[in-house]
Amino acid sequence: MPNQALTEAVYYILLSLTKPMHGYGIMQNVETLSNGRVKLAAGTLYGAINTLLDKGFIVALSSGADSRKKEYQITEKGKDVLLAEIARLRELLENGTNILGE
Amino acid sequence: MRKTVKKGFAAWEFDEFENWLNQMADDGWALISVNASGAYEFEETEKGEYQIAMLMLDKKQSKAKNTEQIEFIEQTGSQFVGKIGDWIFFRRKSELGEFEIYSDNTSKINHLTRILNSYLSIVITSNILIILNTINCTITFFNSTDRITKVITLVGVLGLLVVDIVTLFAWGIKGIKKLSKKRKELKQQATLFE
Repeated sequence: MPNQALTEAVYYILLSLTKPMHGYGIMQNVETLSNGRVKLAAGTLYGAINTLLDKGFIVALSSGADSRKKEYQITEKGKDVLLAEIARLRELLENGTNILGE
Repeated sequence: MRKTVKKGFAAWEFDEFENWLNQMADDGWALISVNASGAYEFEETEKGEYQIAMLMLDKKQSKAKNTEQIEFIEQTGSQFVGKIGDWIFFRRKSELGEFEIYSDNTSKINHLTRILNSYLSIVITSNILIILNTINCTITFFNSTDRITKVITLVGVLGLLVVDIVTLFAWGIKGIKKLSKKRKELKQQATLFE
């Protein structure tokens, strides 16, 4: 996995998709998780979902009658990316608190 | 009550146009439909009941993907108002919060690149057409022996050249500059913040 930072949007989308969720569900979940700080706009989310599908970080679950309510879920590959990001964030945080103090 | 307003917008003024649609909505006139001829129909609503957003579709994207994208955006509580060329319009109730299509810099930059490229191709195509016409008129000028034809083609050639210079310099370059400036500001922002 390249040692690159995930965007905030992608990080929260992947985190949301540890449970199956549809587009609007992701938007609401991300807003709740971040206490209203991160609001994903629909176009941004749509673009991110398509890229994540291409990369194999998430999959679309075969849905019922209404294909518009397509649900997505994280893959093993996606989980690895998420874990690598958490390690990176921990490093940032530790260095920051060590140098600046609490 | 409903009313229709005919209005056009230049590619580089798309966000000013979106602001105008939102100003209408703030005044209690929410966009309800659009017509390919550039007619915008508004319905009377509560003041500020709706917010409007527009975006340019990706030309490289298939029709099926366009439909999927529209449905995806609709699913998040907004209503698809209509389409003019590659531009699509949505409205959403203000109570659902700030309405934007793109919330991150990268998507905004990509959207601007799309607009800029589409605008560039229009400017280049129209200039090629004008240049071809100018060449055509010049050939006619030298081939004809008739004085009247010569005068008419000469006027034609000069006229086309003037039109070309005016469109290319006053219109084309201005638009490209404005769009590039907007994109540059976003890119600068993106080097520091997400």
